Amino acid sequence: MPASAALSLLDGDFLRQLDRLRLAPRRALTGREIGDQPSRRHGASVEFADYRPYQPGDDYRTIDWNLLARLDRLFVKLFQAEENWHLELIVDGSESMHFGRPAKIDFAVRLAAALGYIALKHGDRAGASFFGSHPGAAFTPSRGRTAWAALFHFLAMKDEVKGTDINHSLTRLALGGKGRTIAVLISDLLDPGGYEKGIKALLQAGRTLCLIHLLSPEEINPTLLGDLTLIDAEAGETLDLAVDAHTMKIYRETLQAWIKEIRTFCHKHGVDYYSVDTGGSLEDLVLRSLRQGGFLS
Amino acid sequence: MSFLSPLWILLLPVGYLVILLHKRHPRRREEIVPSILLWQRVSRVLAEDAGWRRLAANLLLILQLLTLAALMLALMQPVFTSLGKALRHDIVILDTSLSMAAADVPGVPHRLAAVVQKLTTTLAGRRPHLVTVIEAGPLPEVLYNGPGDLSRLAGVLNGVEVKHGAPDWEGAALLAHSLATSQTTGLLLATDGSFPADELQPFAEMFPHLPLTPVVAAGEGENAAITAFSARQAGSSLSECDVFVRVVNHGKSPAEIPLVVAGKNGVIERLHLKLEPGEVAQHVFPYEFATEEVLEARLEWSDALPHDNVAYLTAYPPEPTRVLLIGAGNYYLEQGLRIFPQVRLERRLLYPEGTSYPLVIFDRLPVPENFTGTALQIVAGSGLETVSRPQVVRYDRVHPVTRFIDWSEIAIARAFRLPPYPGAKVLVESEAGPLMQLIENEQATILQLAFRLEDSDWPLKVAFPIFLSHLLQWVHPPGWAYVREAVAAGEAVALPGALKNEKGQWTVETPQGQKVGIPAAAASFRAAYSGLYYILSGAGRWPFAVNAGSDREADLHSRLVLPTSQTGEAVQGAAPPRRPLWPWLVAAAFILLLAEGWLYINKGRRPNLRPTLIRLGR
Repeated sequence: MPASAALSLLDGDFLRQLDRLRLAPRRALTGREIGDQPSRRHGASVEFADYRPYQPGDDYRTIDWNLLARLDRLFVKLFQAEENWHLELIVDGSESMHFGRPAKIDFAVRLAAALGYIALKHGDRAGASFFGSHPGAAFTPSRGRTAWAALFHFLAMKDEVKGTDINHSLTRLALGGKGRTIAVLISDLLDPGGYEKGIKALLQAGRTLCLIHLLSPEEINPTLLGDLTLIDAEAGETLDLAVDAHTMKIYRETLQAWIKEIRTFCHKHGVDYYSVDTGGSLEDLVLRSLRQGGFLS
Repeated sequence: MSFLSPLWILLLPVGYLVILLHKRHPRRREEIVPSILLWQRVSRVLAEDAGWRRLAANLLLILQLLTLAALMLALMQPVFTSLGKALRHDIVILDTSLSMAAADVPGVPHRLAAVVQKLTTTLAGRRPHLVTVIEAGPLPEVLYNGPGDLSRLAGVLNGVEVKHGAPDWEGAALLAHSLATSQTTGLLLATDGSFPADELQPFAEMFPHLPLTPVVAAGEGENAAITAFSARQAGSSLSECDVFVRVVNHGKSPAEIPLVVAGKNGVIERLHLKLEPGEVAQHVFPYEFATEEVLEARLEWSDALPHDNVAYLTAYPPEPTRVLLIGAGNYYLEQGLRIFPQVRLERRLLYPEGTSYPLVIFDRLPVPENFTGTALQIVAGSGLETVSRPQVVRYDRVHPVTRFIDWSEIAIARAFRLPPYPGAKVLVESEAGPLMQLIENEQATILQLAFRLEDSDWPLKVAFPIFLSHLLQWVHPPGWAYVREAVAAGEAVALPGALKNEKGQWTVETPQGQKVGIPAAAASFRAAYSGLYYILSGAGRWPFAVNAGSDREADLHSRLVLPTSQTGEAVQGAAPPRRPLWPWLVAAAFILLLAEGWLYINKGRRPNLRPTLIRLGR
């Protein structure tokens, strides 16, 4: 991957700031490979975790002889098992994501690149895929500090997939996965068919899911007025509507209710949820919001 | 409500055209949005209050239709006929003429009482909010103008008295017209109907849309009356006269009516007049009047109306009228005064102070400041501004000096502008100022004439001796005639200037013995009741008679005929007033247009959106 391609997504300063971050999902996972990420399993790493009384069968090497000398009781040391994580970046590549200034897909790709970079930088595996009405191109999960360039190259292609069917796409991706993974879904969720089934499928497949909901400034505060025929950028459907101040007031209330509905669903199912204005700064999102939200540390 | 131009309703199809134009769908602007997902939800919310939304969306159409409707209604000229709760105002014309005194209605003293009873009942049924009562007697006046309180009205109506003359219908109609308002819904005529058919025409002219509603009460009484009693000089002496009496029988049957004429020394004539119904008897007899004598003619007869069974004639011997002419001589004046044999004309160059003349004429000379008495001053002099060919524009038709003369027919070549005098009464006026004015104060009465006789054709016209006759009668009535003709009730009696009391006013004693003060400005007296009146002055009591009898009032038969234009609706009552509504409709259309314009401008303006309140983040 040429350095210029990477730099077209994220600049060098930002990448250096990302070097200090690591993934810290609320629900810690058990990786299948030894890695840099702390696991809930106590293992053989050098990170001390706790003591517990000795039980027959325990490894003698874990007995703390100093405590035996002081207390005349047998305790074994417990160490935090260090494992690697699998980050799965699922990016909505439908036509609606190409709307807005800047386009939501640009914001989504840069966000995915940043998260993938963080994962790869810490020895975790990172994969990525686009979806629309069905799963599109995918970046095979890779590991290693040099894999980020290939990831960036893949994301920069912004594979556009016609149509939108979030439930179908996510279900397909859940079936095709390989066990417990941190999945980050980056989408505007603008699918008349809904998103709930797809998210549930990912959760049932063992994913720890973080949903990053993108909204462009034009969607938050539309500047429409008058007698209009609204054309759906994806489906081509039309809707005749007289837009005035009252209509705009109803729109804002509807949007607010929709976001609240998504947030409630996510909280109910243990999904980290972030709604993001793509007119804002990516650096601010990654360096502040995701850290404050606990997804990064 | 009714419409004066209902054909404008043909504009109604224009309303359909407006609707068709409004319903023509405008070309919608296409906008690409990332998804119509949220907009579909918005549309569903909007559909829940679609009725109100549709109304709001069509507000412009509604305003346009309302504007069109208002304009169409305005063109149809709707008028609102105020009925029901509208304020009702009745004007009552109450006849108080002599015939109303006839005692021929059973149960009441006279016809007026019967009419008042009937009128009270009528008003109780009509229940007007406002009532105006106008007395139509010889001297019309407003008796009441206020709320339709029946008790107060009854008090006013029961206090009305019959007058001894003919009604002045025109005066009553003028009063009614001046008090009529848009709320006036009734014009009631309370009368006995015993007057000529055409006398109510003034009401038809002044109230073309408000017909008279008659309230009539009349009896079948019989009446005989002395309708004329006068005297005319017949001999060489002013006191030798022929006396004339006329009697009429308005009864239904032949009658033998005794007539007695009595004077200072007792009965002069006694006659038995055999008169058929409607027959008139005239009797003339010679008589030489004694000094200050009053003749009384009386029908010794009982009928429904006793007031016209008696008549008076007053006579007193003439005195020479001394007239002093100050000046170099005035041919026309001297010739004019020579017509009157009782005038004793003297001429001097200067006014002799301390003398007393009934009339002093200052011919082109000033009146001395200490002058007392009555003077005619012909104002002319080199120091006064002159006016060429002044035209008479107004003159006093009532004043005893100027009445019965058509002053506009007099041609004047040159006149002098009279010096202004506070309180002067202008009797003849031209476009350039007064031609004759009367100055009265406590000491003197001065009649100023603004032109020389030789500068006009007045001395060549009959108006000149008439003027002199009036002037002499006014300044010195004792010297004018032996017999003073009686007047009818309501007619003006000229009050001689020489008979003023020490306060400069007149005092008149009525037949009932009451003394009435007449101000100097009035110069005449109008009596509503018949009988013998006296002018009281320091020199004595000067009688004049007011007789009730007249051909008009003596006939008591009801012959009421309403004016032709008013008979059709008389029974239904007054035509209610109409109020045009089109100005209000035009104003409403204008306001609707303003509202529509405001709405149109504001609908096209981008809504003032606040910054988003959408909560983002976790």
